[in-house]
Amino acid sequence: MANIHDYYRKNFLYESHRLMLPELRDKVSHTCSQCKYMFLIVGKTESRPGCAALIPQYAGLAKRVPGKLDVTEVLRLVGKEGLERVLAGFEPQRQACGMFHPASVKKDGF
Amino acid sequence: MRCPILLADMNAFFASVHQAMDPVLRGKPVIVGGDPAKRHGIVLAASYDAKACGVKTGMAVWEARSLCPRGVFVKPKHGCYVNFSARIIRIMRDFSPLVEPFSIDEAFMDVSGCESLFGTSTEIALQLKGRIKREVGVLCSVGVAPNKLLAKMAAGMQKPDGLTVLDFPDLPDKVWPLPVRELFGVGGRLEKRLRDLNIHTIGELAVYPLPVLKKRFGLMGHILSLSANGIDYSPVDPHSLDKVKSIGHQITLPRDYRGYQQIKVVVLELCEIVCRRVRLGGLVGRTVNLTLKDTEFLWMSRSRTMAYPSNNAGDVYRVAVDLLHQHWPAWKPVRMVGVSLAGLVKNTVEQVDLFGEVEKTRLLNAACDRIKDRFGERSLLRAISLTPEGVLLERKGEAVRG
Repeated sequence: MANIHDYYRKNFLYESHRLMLPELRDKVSHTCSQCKYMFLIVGKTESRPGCAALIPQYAGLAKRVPGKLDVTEVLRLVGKEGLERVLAGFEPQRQACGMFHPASVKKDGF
Repeated sequence: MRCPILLADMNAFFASVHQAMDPVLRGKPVIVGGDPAKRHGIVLAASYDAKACGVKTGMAVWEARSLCPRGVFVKPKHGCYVNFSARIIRIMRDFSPLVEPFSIDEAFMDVSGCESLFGTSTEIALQLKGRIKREVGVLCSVGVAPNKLLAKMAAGMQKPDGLTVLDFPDLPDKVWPLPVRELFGVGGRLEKRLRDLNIHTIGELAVYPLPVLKKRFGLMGHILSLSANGIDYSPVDPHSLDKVKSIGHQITLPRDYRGYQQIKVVVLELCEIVCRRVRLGGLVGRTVNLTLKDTEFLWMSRSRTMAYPSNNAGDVYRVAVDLLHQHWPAWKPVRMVGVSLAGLVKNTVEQVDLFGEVEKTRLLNAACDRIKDRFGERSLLRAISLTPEGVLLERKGEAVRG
């Protein structure tokens, strides 16, 4: 450590004591748009992103999350209220939630 | 705003998470402990009801059972703790973007400039506690102070469910009478060296001549003097987790391992885990660290820097084994092994070799990573994990008897 200014500027006291589980680091340093659960709901006139973690068939990654899903399919799986929850569950710049899984491949449009 | 820095410290976090998930456990003494059969049988966390019986973190489970026969013993669920922690950080980020997670159950927050939105820092602290309790079901103690050091000390002053404001005028009454070990950053060794100078309390450290401290401890002496006077210029850095300093993994062995052949199996498994995580982060590292602990809990930690940065398990393993041979006698039994890779940088440039071995290894690693991404971490293992010395499968309860 060169001098006292560097010590404080580089947060040295806290960096040297910080112990972070990698899974927690992933969740708090990523956003919804970087998550594996993010998918596109394709409607008649527009397409909007949603969160597949709120669809039981895809929760826990039991099934692979498709890049796109037709809105009628989503309605069939979770109903109208479920569709609203799926849409509200995704906010591109919001911190990832506890169910975050990093997307290994960048999805179209994101 | 005089005291814009908050530290939220969750109370008995692991136990509280179990109580939040299972209402049956609320109001009961909950003890989170490992499996004695796998030599992880220590108390990881205890609820305040269990602590009242004398149960302490780090105590053996059998001892905790004798102190608290009514205690409800639960196995740890680290995935749940991570989820709850992420939810709490999300709530904090609704108040201010300047949130710095410090550990799984603590985070700093700088609320400068938020008065017009949420009120004073004390009002924000109350709102934060209320939201965490309502939305997550966990209690926390919050420290409110002018800087991170005092906020951390304040949070520890009232537990559980506390709210403590600690400003500079409070130092003589609330901080200076405390033992010097209570000052954040002072560990056992430093405490002993300060006692040699007849410094026993934070107040005595605060008034100790600065030139003497600087001569004795160098830069650290200056930092100690400032800290004892409640001064800390460290910023709340919301990007602290973006910079990964090192990635490591350690494991307590189910039995004592003797001889290099046994220990090397575990070292290779750990190198695979660490390098997989390094590659996931798009990084390479240069400094390999090997940590070993013996049966008396005395540990040894040695590092070596490689000629070129790497994220290949084979390269890290070669250095780790070299460190093992050089610094650990073959006869000495091992209880815990840890491997980490530091000096991490973005993987943008690769050293090419004449025979293409580096490229072949890179392609192999990429293929293995794709398989694990798709089918899970246990879908592909080295053959040595199937031997009796391998610990990865044994930890999952799929012990292989050779």
